[in-house]
Amino acid sequence: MRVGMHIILSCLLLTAALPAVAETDGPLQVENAWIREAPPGSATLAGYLTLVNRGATPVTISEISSPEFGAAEIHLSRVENGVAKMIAVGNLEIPAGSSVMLQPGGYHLMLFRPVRELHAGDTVTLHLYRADGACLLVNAPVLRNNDTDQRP
Amino acid sequence: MNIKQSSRRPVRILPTLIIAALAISAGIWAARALLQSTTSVDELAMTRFPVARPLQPFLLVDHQGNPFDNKSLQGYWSFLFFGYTQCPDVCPTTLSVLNSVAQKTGDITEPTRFAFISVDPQRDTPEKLASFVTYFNRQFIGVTGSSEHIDNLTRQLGIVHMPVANDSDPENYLIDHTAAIFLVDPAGNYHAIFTPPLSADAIASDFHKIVQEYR
Repeated sequence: MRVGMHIILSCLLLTAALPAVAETDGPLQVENAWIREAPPGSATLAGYLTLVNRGATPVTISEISSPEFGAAEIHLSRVENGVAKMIAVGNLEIPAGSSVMLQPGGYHLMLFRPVRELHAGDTVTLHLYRADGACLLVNAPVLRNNDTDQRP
Repeated sequence: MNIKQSSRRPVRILPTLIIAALAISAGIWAARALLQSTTSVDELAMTRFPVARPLQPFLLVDHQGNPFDNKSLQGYWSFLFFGYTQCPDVCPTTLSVLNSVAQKTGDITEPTRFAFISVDPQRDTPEKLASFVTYFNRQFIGVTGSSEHIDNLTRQLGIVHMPVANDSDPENYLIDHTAAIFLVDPAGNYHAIFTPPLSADAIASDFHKIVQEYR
């Protein structure tokens, strides 16, 4: 609990210090973050981004939160024997020198209970907590994607 | 005589086995080479039945409150996808793909429609489906009904759907469900199935071929 408080505090301090965008944390970089605009009334949204680890040691993301949502988790969509399944992923490891893509139909952020209705053009702040306690702040635009399964 | 024969037998079987094994490997290699050269990515996405299968009577309701049953399928090519509105990744992705298919097949003159059928009737009311499906395309149809009637249709199409508990948010439970898209022809018969990974280009190109051959 104390650790949790410390993490949240450090992310908030970071927010205060860098009100613009802080999408790098040493070796870890976040690219192409976006939230999929959802139909009106949706209780759960999906978010996508690419985690790039340029360092020499693996980095683990162990928790996600956002002031815009009641809860957030990393999930994996997988098709097994033709059936689409979603599995909550507790810890996501980004191996040294490689990257992990969160994208439609694969790993994604599950964003539960939005505090307000989000529309394309809005920006959502995400807090990505590393297993070692560091917090990474990401600003992700809400985008409408209606013609493709790729980032618009 | 008997002893001689039995002692010779293993010697004769071994070369036969080797030849058979070689022949089988050659056959597999040849089949692979042939399949690779003639099967395009498009064709891999779709399974078309040699004879379209009739659908037994079912009765559901669309997002405007109108009945959606076997008669509703008559006279249209219908793309059917099964999911639920609380599904944030796979269902919006598939509906986006279907919207793209709709744009890419706009030149087809035969009436075509796209229906999203809920496997979550407890939460998916016609009103909820209305705002969900029309967000992706104003022409899309949202369909729901009683569990019994939905199961009547899903069983016929071999669709699996089962709720999964969500510990962090029990009300927002998830549902595992078949990810394929089903195509019903204008006679109301189950004609083809598109299985993931779903590509709008592949589905649109297959659909053009199917419609042309059906004319």
